[in-house]
Amino acid sequence: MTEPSLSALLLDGLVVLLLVGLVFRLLSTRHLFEAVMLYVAYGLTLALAWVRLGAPDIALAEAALGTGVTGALFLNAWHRLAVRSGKDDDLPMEPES
Amino acid sequence: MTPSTSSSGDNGADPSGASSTPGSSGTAATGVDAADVRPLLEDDGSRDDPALLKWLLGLLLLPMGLALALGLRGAADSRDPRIPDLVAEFLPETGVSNPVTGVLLNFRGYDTLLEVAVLVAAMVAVWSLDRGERLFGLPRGRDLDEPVLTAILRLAVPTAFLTAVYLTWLGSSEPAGAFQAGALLAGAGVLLTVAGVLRPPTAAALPVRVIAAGGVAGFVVVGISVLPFTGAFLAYPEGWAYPLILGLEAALAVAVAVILVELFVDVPSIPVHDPALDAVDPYGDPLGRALAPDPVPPEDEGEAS
Repeated sequence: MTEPSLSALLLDGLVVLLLVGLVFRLLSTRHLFEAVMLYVAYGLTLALAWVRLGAPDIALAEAALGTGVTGALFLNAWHRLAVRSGKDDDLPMEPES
Repeated sequence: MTPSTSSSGDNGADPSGASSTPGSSGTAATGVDAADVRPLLEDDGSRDDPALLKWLLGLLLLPMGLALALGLRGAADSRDPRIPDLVAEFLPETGVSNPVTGVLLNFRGYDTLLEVAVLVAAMVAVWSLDRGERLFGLPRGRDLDEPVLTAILRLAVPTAFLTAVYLTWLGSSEPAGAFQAGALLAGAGVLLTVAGVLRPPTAAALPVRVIAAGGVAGFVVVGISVLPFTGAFLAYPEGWAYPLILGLEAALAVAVAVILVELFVDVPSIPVHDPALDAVDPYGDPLGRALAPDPVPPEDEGEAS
């Protein structure tokens, strides 16, 4: 095991910080559409983390399944809710107070 | 929910009776009592103190996270140190040179078999949400007059298809395999479906079911047909491991792709805004339509009232 270079450490630290930040925003946002988009961004960042951990096959599965297909399913569900409630623009998770 | 409705004098005032046996009340069209429908997006007036709730949640989650982290550390320490050497020693006999594929498709083939069976079960579950009668889950395709979308499709779909074939083949020597390939194919399929180019049939169509079950069926057929030669389920005879694994991976990739697209297609169709449904389901319960029983025949209704 070679000593990791400073730039690699910085990159990995950035990915970790980005993951935590995305999750925090994703869980605290009040808008469903924003949450879905953040979830997709989170999945892609997680795929990057898997690549950095030396598991490109899991990174592929995360990007294709966790982000692509799940993101599409979430968008589909969001669209259903938007159509069903008669408005196509952003849906709040809770009523704005 | 049974399609034949009971006509023994139930009324809308009893919530449990109304939800289980749709009958003569004003909600006979769907059998769902308005009082039963929980708000999904609208304000129901009740409020917990959000700040207090957040702190309580944090207090609860912190020890849980710590326990998980400690447990994971323990698990990493307690794994059997002989396993990597064992896998490396017997890898030449698996017919493949990638240890992950060797474990998944040879040493522990039944794990992968059950994994695909779970996927098939998930597809059936989603399909059953809409009583599984529709042959097509999404609206009719439309002509593409959007140049950007067309350009993206022309680039992405063939690339995804080619990459999926490559990944299936690559799985025997490098980190890749049927699940990644299937997911990529499914991504292309969903893209085409959303763009309105492709209109995949639901799982009500026989070919869809045959292909989706093909992964599990292939595994079982191979597993049983090697029994006379090797005496064990899914133990490949010498020299046959590589072609069998490659064939199984190909069947798996196609099955996984079809199942994942079906998860997308088989959900109850995106409903057009239906004012009649608002009377019983003003909150847009996504399952409101799917759970609605069959319309009551006129003579049945007369008997009930």
